[in-house]
Amino acid sequence: MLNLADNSTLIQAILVSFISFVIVVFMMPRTISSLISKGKVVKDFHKPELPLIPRPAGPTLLVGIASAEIILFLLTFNAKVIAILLTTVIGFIIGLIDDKRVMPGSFKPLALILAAVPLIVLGAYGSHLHLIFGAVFIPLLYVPLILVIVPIVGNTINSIDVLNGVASGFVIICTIPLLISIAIFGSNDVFVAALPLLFGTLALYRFHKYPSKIFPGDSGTLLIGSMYGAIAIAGNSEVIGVISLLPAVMNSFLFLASVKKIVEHRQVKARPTVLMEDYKLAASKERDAPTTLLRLILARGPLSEKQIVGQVFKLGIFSSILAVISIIIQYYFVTGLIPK
Amino acid sequence: MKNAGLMAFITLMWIMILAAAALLVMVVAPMELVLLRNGANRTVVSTIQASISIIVVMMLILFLSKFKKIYVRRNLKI
Repeated sequence: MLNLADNSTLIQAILVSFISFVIVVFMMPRTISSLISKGKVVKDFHKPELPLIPRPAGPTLLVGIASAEIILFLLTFNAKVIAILLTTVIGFIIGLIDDKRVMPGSFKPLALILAAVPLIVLGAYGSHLHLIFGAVFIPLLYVPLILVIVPIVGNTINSIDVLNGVASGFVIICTIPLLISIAIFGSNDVFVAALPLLFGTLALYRFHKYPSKIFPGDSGTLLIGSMYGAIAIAGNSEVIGVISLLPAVMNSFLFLASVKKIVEHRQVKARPTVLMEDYKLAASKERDAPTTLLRLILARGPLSEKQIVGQVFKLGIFSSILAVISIIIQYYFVTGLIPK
Repeated sequence: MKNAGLMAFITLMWIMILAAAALLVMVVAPMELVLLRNGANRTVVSTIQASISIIVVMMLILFLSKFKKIYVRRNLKI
């Protein structure tokens, strides 16, 4: 349980939040100018003039988050902090490779298994899996589970990055129940280590929200996803983290179930949505088009990009409420107020 | 509400996760107490528990897949 009566935890929390937020906010305008001058831009196909948007924002986000985590490690010398940082950095590197050259669809999920290794090597996990109604002791099964959780969460966040501000805004919403869960069931250090994810992403959202001034790229989304997975594992909040991300999990599940193999979105010929003349998006009527969350949101009729983003956020808020209800149930079972 | 159907889908996923969690905590985990008391080997007990857990997760995915098909067919009319 988080102990804020301990002044050092409070100071560390304020410090890492401030560092991650300020670095990203101050560096991002320079990153945008630099990427534009180098011609590292992509078309935003959902806008009338097809504006050129710089990409990726991942490196700047990493500088903000990594600076905060390094300072936290120097203050606490907690191995879990370094494990979270290394997982984040590996996720970022995998994303950066994918940003620079188009890799096959299986590259990201397979490569992200590597990102989970620091969590295992540095022992940033418990021997119990917290399953709402209690914890189960699975010391051996937990290791392969970690190797599955990090790639799934990383790819889940990556696959929801389809419209302006969706990935960053959605993660901000879903990180709140995760933080509440870590505060109750995790430790002080992991809670503080999770704050740069919230504040760094909050700073990114200022530039990524509709209309985007920069796109996070695979380096940005895989960084965020890997860090989210690492924090959920180190903070004893794996199931709460998954419940919070349910709309994104549903998106990945729908896509995989309809395409029936792991492929890159750009490799799929039939698109799930159709861009109309008024730049609204409509659900594709093609039978072969993959089923995605976006396509289901648009099933009731065309919507503008801004309206769709709002709908995704509403779903994120809804799943976060379910996650908070799950935290309350888990709290009562863990404290023994409800006997198993 | 525009997203009522999707919210219902998410709620169903949530209920199924809770149901699977309850089954693992309240049925599968205590199994070892009974089996070990009856002289079963620790490795065998863990293997049985892990197998049941994997089957539960597979059934969860299978059920979701079935429900997804019905939901998608009804909503996208394809």
